[in-house]
Amino acid sequence: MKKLIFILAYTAAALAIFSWSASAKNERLTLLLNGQYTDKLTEATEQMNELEQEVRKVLLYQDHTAAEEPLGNIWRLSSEIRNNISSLPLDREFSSEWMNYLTRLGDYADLASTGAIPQEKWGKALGNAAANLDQFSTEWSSATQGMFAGGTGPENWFAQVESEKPDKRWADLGQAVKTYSESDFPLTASEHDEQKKKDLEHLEDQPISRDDALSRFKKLFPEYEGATVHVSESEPDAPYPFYHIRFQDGARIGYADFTVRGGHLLSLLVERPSGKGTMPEAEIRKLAEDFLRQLGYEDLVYEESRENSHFWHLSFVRIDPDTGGKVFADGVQVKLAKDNGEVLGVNAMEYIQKEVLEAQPVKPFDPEEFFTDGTQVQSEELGYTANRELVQRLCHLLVVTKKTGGRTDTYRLMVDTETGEVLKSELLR
Amino acid sequence: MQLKSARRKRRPVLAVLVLVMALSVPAGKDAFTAQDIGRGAFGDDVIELQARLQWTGFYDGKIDGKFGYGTYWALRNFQQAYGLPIDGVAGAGTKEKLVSVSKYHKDFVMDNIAAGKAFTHYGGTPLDAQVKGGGGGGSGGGGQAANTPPGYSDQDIQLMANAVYGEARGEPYEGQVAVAAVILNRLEHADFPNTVSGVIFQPLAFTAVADGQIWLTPNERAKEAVIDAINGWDPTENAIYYFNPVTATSEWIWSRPQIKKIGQHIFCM
Repeated sequence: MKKLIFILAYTAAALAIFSWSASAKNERLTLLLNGQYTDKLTEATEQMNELEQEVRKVLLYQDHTAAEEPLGNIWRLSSEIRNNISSLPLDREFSSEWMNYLTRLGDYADLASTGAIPQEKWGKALGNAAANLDQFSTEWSSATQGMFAGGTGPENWFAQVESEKPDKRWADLGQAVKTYSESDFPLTASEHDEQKKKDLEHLEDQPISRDDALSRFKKLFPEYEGATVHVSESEPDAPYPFYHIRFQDGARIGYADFTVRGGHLLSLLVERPSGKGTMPEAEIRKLAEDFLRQLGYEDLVYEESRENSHFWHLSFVRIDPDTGGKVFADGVQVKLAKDNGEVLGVNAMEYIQKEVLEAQPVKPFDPEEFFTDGTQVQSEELGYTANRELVQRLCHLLVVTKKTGGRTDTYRLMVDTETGEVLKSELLR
Repeated sequence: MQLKSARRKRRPVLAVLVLVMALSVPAGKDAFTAQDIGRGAFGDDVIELQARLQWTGFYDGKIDGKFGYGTYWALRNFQQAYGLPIDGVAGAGTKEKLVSVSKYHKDFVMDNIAAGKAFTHYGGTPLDAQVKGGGGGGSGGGGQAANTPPGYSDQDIQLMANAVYGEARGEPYEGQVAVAAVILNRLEHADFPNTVSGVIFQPLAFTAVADGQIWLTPNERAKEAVIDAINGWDPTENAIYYFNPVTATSEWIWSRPQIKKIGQHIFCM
């Protein structure tokens, strides 16, 4: 009996020590996290005040050089506040809207500093922004009241984010910021077009039925003729309607999505066990090209390929018939099995709505004047990429090498054929 | 008679010597597979190619099994130096020449890659002196990373694979690609942070981060799902949120415009 009492007492003591130790550890972590959140919140608040001051400062100047510094500060501060806000557990709606506003403000300041937006226009937009930031500052103080006192532990921050109903103060603040975004920085025509393209909203083809979608699937992929299929339609709120076909054929399980309007293939992806053989890359590429022809995609050219453990991913881009330029935004990707070259995936989402390309002069380009000594142009062709205003521009597409410190670096550059501006520069590994 | 006996005695010794030499000599002519190796290739053949090019002094980049431009120019320079057709593709002739003029210490190279150590494989320098340390730790350890488009680091791929595995390992493959696609969609969206780690570790953005399941070791399937998403596949049709309708408590998430259901998750805008 004495032994039993001793063991029980010993166990109870051990449990008490363990529990105390765990509780002390939790408390330390809680305090640490609380400190970090308060620090980030304080920093974000201070930066918001600085941001408002910089926005007000820039309104003083008509001179571009004088405006450059505050514009640069607006860009930097908006980015830093974004980082701080994204690391805090704040109301989701507010957090998203505020990050969006800061992105747009920062991008706008960046564009203004390059002269892409006339002073009159950015002066007006930033004038509105100054007034809105002032208003925001008051509402922010009210919403965060008490959060600096240290009595609000992380569990309260989390509870607020995870609660079934959002806190009214934060919901109102989120709504206010959304209004600021719409009034201060409305979407430009190009941004709107870009979004519509992404959302495939303005497809004007005739809608197809569920049975038509299934027939189209079986026509494009006859190897799945005998597969068990299930066809469903996108949710009513989806930005563009599509059919979702799930199928199973032996060990192969996959899906294919087709737009309701026009029955365009969005993407297909199949999962199956991999074999051990390895087909040569040249044959894989030929199979991919044959497959794309079979789909009716005649205006694509091979761009690049990437091997991984069991698959090859090949990229193709559309060629503009007028200029012969590569339209990278209208690409198609194909995934093939390494063992036998079977097509296991195709992604044609970006190919459905082609970019609208404006005619553009091609001014002579002299690499010797453009580059420093020792830079070698390895290849030169034409290609399209979007500029800062999201307009597709025809560019000299150059692959160049430069030996620096004993190492040869390779770059892909896209230089506007009309303005000579470098729209894209990428170090290729 | 005595000579014959001595020879007989020597035979096992010679056999052992030959065996030891065969084992100690670096992988030889038949080490490469029969495949032509060109830009975009990935795997053991590329590792051997890079190691042999480095042995001969033509390649000074990282031996990582990814045939990028660094390997391409090194190979072209090698082909030019040895009077081979200059095409930047390691075909039979190029591989034969490489094997004849270089050594490949497969175990040394593979062990260091697996350990995630920084190392080189130059000829004329003791191999032990070419290991610069590093490696170890991390859920993924070393090993060959994935071959992905520019703009994504090996750490990004690893983090995303962890997130996909932690969030959706019980989901169909399509659902795993979908989770990876949501991370990438957020990366491009103005409402979210602009780094992979920023998106994944945004407080309470992913359940797997909150409950620690993100630190489970992901399997190959999760990694493949990430690679498919990075290569352009998006089964969600541009979703930026998803939730499990059985476990979600937030009223707000139900207010988001829904796009599609995959497995247990509803994907929305």
